[in-house]
Amino acid sequence: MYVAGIDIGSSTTKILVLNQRDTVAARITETMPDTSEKAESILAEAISGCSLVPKDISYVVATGYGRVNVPFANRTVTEIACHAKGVHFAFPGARTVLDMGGQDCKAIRVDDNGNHQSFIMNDKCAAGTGRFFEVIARTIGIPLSEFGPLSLEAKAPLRISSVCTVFARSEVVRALRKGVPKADIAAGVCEATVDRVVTLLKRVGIEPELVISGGIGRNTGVVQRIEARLGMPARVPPEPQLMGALGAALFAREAVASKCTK
Amino acid sequence: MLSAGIDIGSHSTKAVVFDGRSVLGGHALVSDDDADTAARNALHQVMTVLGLKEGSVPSITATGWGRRQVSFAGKVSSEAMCASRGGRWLVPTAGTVVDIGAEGCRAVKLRPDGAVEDAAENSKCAAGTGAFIELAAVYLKVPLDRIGPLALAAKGRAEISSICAVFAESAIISQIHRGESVERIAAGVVWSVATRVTELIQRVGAKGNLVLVGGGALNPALAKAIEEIVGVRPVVPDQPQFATAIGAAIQAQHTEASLPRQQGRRSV
Repeated sequence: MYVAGIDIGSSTTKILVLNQRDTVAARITETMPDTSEKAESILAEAISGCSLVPKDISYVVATGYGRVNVPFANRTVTEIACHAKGVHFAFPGARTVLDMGGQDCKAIRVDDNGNHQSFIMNDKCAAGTGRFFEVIARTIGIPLSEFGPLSLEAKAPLRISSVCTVFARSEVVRALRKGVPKADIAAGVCEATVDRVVTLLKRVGIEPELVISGGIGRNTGVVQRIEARLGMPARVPPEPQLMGALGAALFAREAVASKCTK
Repeated sequence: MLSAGIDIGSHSTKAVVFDGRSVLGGHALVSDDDADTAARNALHQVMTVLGLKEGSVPSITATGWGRRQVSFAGKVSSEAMCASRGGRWLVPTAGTVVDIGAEGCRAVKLRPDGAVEDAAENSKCAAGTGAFIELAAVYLKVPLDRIGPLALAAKGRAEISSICAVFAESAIISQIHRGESVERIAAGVVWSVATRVTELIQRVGAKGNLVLVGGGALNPALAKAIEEIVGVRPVVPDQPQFATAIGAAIQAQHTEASLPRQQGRRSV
């Protein structure tokens, strides 16, 4: 029996396939305007490596902002529920989840069973989302993956006064022309983001363990600064971007199990 | 007495020379990181054209984003104050002056004597500013000054649901993918900005003639969209982008809070 979770985010689409016990395939691709319609062929590609075809998948749960248009999904589940479930599976002790994706950021409180109790979300403003990092990385000419490590080399983090990504970008351009080192700029951007997410976390209420998921989990500059600011460790799954797809696949597996027992 | 007003905006720096009755000349250039140099260059340009010698303009007021960096300005004044004074000078019947700049937008309600009664401002978020339209033009791959005419040519408009100028990129790309025309998307972009601008107008409570100034006022579709939302046709003076600099030059003439007598409008 195979099930799949497909998480269509604003920047990337994540697919994760489970059997009764393990993850058998996982894939992260860029989200395109037609990703939802093409989700089946993306799934086919993701599972071709393990000699599976889409009709071998008994149940598909779609999540993420593009979840509504996936023609072959059996069910859709909100990304909040999927992230809570995925993170709880990876870290059963998780009680607070910070998930930052390409165009949103959410702080989620999770109970002992992996159900979300409450959450706060920002998906209206690019500040405090992955997009902020993408815009600034492009402006200072570094790959996104170097953002965190570079920020940790900073001597004097640039103070960024604008919240708005557009205006912050103007500040960064001016700083670059003045010769401010890229590391100091990267550090300033991380600091500004930490200000935003810590506010979000405090509003939802922080209880250990704290787990950071989504693309931001790969940014060591942000993760270390959040830990320092809160004075508590944060756990990061090995594949932080896959937590939503994992949760979706777990929902799919539960759906199949309950069908079998009926 | 001659006075000068310099408006150092985040996008362009404008300088005008005023003699207490009329605006003698003006010049705009792209702002530099160094606001002092940009201000000096803009003023120098106006004075050269007018044949004025160095030091012949005794009173200079700076306004705008970079106003505190202008070393040779005798005074500084807020954008809201200068935009309203300039708007009122250009259109003496102005009741509310709305200034749409590159990175800020403000609505100023005036008392019958021209004093500021109430003001609302957005300088924190690119929504409702010229930056939103500028970015949309980049996403649509059309020059900035084409957005207005394209929007005016549209039948209806595409829905741009993002408030955030950064998120508007994916909104616009998915609209293009859906087969929406550039015209209808441009109209949606303009409508989005107009919605944010009218929120500021409604916050102060518009009254009397609504006057649009700033670079955003050069976009004819924006004025039309604001008219559709508020139900009042805005008055757009000639060269509205100089209004705030004119207001600064007026401030430079008057040390006390009293307003100058209206001398009728003059184009820059």
